[in-house]
Amino acid sequence: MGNPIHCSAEEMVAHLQSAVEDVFQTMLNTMITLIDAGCAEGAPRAALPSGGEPARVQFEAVVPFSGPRNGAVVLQCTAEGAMDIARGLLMLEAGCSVPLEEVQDAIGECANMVSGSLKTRALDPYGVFHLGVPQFGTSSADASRRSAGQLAFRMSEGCAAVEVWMEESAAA
Amino acid sequence: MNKVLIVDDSSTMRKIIMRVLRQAEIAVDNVIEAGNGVEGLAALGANPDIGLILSDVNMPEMNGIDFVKAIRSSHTKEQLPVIMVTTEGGGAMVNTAMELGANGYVCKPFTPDSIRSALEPYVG
Repeated sequence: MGNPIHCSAEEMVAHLQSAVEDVFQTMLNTMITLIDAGCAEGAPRAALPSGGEPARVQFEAVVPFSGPRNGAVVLQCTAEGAMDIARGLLMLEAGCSVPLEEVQDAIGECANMVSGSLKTRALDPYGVFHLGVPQFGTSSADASRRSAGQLAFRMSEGCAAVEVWMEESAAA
Repeated sequence: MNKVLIVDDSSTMRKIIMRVLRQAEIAVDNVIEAGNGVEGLAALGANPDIGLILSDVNMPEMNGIDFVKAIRSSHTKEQLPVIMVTTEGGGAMVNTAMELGANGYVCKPFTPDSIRSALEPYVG
């Protein structure tokens, strides 16, 4: 049995972009500016710009999924990007500070919604998949997983990146 | 409408739903929050006059499916409407929730209009 998900890497990235735009336009009333997209190996933080220095990912939420293929959707943000997402979801004024635990919760919910939108577009056509609850700071490298697509984007303040990881097909 | 119970493990989402209820001009006397199905059942026990429930599906401890199942053992769909608010639109878990007695569902991300449409049959 081969890969039960027949969506190409390019299609997965397109689905990912649509899912992110759907969530950001509907729930944050924010347009995003795409910085980079692709399906290269490695964490999406590599695509985050930071004025010539390595980007500092301050917040990370991981939503695992299970089904014909197991995997996860990872949302990573700079501190400014995370604060921007939290303010957008909570409809707070620019510059308004949000407590860290509320920022983390907002990042988790944002990742959850992006994962749900992506699941509807890219996974559900290929079988029954289930999403897990968001986890924080757990996207350590795993040799059994590979990147199926990633994109990085800029918001009104700060940057964020989303990546889809999938385990290698168990059935050979 | 008397009391509304919002069950979601994300405090952000509970705040968003409360804000959208106001934006949608849905008259609510009081909103009670719970972080999962277990807390939701406890809130229902303490507030028997809750008239409408909005519940997430994916939650720790007790998910929305088991929560609906537990509610339907004591309340009919007419007595206590339950609307699922979920990222899993059209997925297997939503279908299961509907089969177990949820009155409807709203997909995240949502607009105030989609919340209003889902709640209209149950609010004055």
